[in-house]
Amino acid sequence: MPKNGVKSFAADAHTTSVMAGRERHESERRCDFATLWAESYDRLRTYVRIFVPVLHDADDVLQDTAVAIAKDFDKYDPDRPFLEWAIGVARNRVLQYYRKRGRDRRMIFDVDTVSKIEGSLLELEPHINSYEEPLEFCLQKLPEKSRRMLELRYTCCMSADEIGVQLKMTVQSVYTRLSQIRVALRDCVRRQLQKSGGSTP
Amino acid sequence: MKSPIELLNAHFDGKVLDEDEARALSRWVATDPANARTVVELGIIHSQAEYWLSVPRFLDELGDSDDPAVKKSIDAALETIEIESHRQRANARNPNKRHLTWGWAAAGLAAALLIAVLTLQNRTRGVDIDTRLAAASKPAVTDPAQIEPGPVVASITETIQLKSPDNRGLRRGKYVRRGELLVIESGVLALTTADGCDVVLEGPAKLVFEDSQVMSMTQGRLAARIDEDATGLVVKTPTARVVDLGTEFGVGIGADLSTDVAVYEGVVELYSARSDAPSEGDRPAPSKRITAGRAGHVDADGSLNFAVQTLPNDREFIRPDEIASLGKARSGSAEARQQTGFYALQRTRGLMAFQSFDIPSDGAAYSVAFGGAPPRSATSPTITSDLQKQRLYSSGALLLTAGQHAFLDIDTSSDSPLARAKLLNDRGLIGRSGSELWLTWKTRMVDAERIGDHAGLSLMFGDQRLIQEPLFVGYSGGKGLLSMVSNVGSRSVKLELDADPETFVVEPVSIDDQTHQWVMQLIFSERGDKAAIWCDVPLESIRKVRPQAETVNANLIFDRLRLGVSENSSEWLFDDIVLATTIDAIIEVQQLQAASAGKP
Repeated sequence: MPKNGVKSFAADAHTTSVMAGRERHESERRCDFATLWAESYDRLRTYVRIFVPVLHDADDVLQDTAVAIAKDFDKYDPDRPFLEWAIGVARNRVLQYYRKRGRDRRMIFDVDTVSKIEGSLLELEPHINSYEEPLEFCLQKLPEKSRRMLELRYTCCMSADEIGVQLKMTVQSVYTRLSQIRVALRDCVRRQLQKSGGSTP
Repeated sequence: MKSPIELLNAHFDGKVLDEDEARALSRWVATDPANARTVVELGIIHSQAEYWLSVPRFLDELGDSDDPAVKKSIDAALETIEIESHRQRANARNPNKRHLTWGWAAAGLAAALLIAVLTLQNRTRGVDIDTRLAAASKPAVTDPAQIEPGPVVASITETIQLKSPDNRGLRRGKYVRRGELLVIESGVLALTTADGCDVVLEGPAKLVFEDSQVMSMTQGRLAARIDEDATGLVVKTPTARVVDLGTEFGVGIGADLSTDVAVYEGVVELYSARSDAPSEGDRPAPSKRITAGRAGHVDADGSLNFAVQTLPNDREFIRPDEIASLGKARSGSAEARQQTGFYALQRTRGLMAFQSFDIPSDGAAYSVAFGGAPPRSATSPTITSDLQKQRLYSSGALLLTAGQHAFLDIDTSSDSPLARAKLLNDRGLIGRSGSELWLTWKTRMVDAERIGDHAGLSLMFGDQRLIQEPLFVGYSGGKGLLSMVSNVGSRSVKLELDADPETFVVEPVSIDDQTHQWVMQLIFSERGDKAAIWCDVPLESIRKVRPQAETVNANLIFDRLRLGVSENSSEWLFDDIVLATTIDAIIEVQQLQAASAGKP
């Protein structure tokens, strides 16, 4: 009885140790996932926002991507760049989103174009963080009317139709103006990056 | 066509590009790697500008702000907003989901705050401020250090076709303070309370939040969905008090100030406003517990009606999920447009039954008061493409081939719309004396050369043709002329439709392969029941135009429709069957169908 008891205890201890090891491994994996996800979040968000125009839908797609990545994280090869792998997962979620929408809303880019955009994103990826400060500066420098339009678009989450009503403009003028503002911001960011000594990405 | 960059940005801003535009954009990206780079650069600007101007970023900065005025204004406001605790709970569950877990309420509320602080910051920098934006957050802008003591109790999350004395004030993102009177003349206002309850107010309405859990409404209709952690919401009306016990419900005030309550989920306790009177003394307040699927009523004099009824439908009030669907519909979702159109259709006064032959559900979905799906038949008829191409997203039409027939059983249960409208006789069949019913449907014969013996729609009170078929409308006897056949006992009276009923001579109408809309008026009376029929007469003109055929039937009763095609006849399509107590209801249904229709 004591012997069995000892044996049993030893077996339990072994099991506990194996389980503890697994738990540690799981915990580390979770930690790795959280770190990599946090590091890549802005890039993946940019990627998804390029293809999915509706903010809440984009958030859903991003969320689905996070779930899929967490679920398949064991399949991720740590020797490969995480972002490249994650973009592949996000691409599938974007395509799945458009499949669900059916004829209602189609993916506007074909497969080759998506691939080219992904290539450019991965090329620009090391420089994406350097956009932040210049962009904040350029947003502050925007003419008041432009700034107000962006606030309606992004802070108040208004559609182009609603902005048009608010500012007494046609929808087409709203699209055009928002396009001009973004191009102006891009040019401003480029100038700021050049001034700060770095070459434009 | 616009430049590729304009197309790309329009896509970012929600414009649905057509195929040519999308192809042009893809081609442009493919021609030069610099163009693909431009897409990414503008994508970064779009995504990061969205972040910089977003509500979550603003709150992230809250803790870092060194400006005491800014900090104080936001701290004071946020202290009053229990929504913040919901946000923190959500963030605690998934710290990496910080941007994703924001509810609309918090987002809307904080949007107003953000604008206020952005405005304040701009002011301190000497920048002229846009007054329209500032209007949404006036108290904080005026003096952030002196925010009114009345705490924020809710925020406006959506407005739909809203008209109010202060249109500019009631806008998305505005926060509502305790004691603030909300007045709307028409349209819909959606709010989320600080406790996370979603409230939809239909105008004309007047409402005051006594606090985040107590609303006092003197006019209008509201629906509320209570967060599972936040029971105890109270809605007061001039004649009643409704206390939720974890639920979703609607409260409406009639023109005579009576109160109607509909419970969709959970339970509410309905009190007569009289129960608040001191004369009640120590007696327990009279109240009635109303469970899901039931409706309650308090009379204009405050008397509680203890007879609880079953809900006529679950869309009598505009509910919070409908607001979400309306948002999706506005974003271009055809499915959501169909859904919201159907919700509105169910609210049509006088609608008794509706069948649009929804394809995915074999006619079960998007139908009112028609039992059974697919339509009852021994021969499995199919539901195919709609008669009108631009019709609802998933709406179809019933296709019957030679020798096929199908029954559509009408709901004549005691809770049915027909029973409520008192259209059922003692036997539970449609045809109560003193009532009136309108019926409309569409048909199309596929091949006008293959006539066969008959095809059309019958009113029936059993499944046996002729014996239990008081009325048939279509063509019969192999003649190919549109007609109405009235069967009384063993006698049949056939009346051909007259192309011009204003003249004395009957000009028969031949069947063809076009789509036809039929309208029938049934007037039930002690002396005999009258049936009148119009074919392809615009609904708005029906009252001014003589019927193309009219008959009196001694005993016109029915509880089902039979759609049938004889042997050797061409295929027939049947669609959009509507029963209503007035022609106006049928017109309204048709308008709603048209408004909900997708683009061809």
